[in-house]
Amino acid sequence: MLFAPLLQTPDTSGYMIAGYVIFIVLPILFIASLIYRQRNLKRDKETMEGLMQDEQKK
Amino acid sequence: MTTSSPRALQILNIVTAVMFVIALSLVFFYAPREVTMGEVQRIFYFHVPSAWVGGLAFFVTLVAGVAFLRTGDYKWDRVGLSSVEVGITFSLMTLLSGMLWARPIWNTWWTWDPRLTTFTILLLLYFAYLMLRQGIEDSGHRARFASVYGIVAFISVPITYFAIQLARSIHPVLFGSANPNAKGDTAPLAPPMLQTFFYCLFTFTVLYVTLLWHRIRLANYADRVEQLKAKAMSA
Repeated sequence: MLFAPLLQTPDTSGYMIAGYVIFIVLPILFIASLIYRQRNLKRDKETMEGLMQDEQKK
Repeated sequence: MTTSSPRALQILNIVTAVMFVIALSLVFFYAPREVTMGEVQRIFYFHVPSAWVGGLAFFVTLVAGVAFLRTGDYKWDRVGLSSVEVGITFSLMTLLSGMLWARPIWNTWWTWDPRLTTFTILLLLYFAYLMLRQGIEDSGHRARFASVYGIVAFISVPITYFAIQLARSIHPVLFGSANPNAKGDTAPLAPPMLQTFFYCLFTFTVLYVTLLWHRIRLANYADRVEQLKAKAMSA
């Protein structure tokens, strides 16, 4: 016991894993939101183009 | 009106993904485990670069704001908005990862330390930027308001950075502690830790450029769709 290490490294790996989940998930969520918004805009654009074509036919 | 990415952006996507995987490998397999804190210290390698990118993003918003007020070109308004969104994402990463680090090290998820308090104010200021933009209908008025707001809100970035050096704080000080009362001084990092840190810093800067480029392209696309809507309504 006399020569036992004075400092024992704590097990904090759970917090580290949770931290890296955040570092990976948040950019993925941001990219997903960009894709989602772009899809919506594309749909809006197609609707507008359809309306304009209908207007031209009339 | 194409939505496919230019070749340079496609290459940048791949480069960023490869750099990110290398950064993760360095963090987990190259940097040694810190003896006092254990594995949770590895959060530092991505926590500080996230904070750096947040500050950089808000600085870009400031520059875009000045550029818009000088030129009146709406592309700068789109750059400012895009950079705020990316900056908020990285700042949230900083805040949440900091809380996860603090729990085992400070024995609390949160404390009203000067750094944490000023950082929260900074984040709220930029959330308010997005919310206030939504409330203004006229595009010219909105862009002018956002430019001025982006310039003024940037004051919170140096205040947050220097908070730990000027005030009594328990937050670790990475570079140059000027305050003898600061409690958060850190031991010097071992060379593999420093190399990993600077590599991660560079990787996050590249990630910021990639995400900003994508966000600006979306803003440009949204602008073109808005113009098309106006044209369809007037027809």
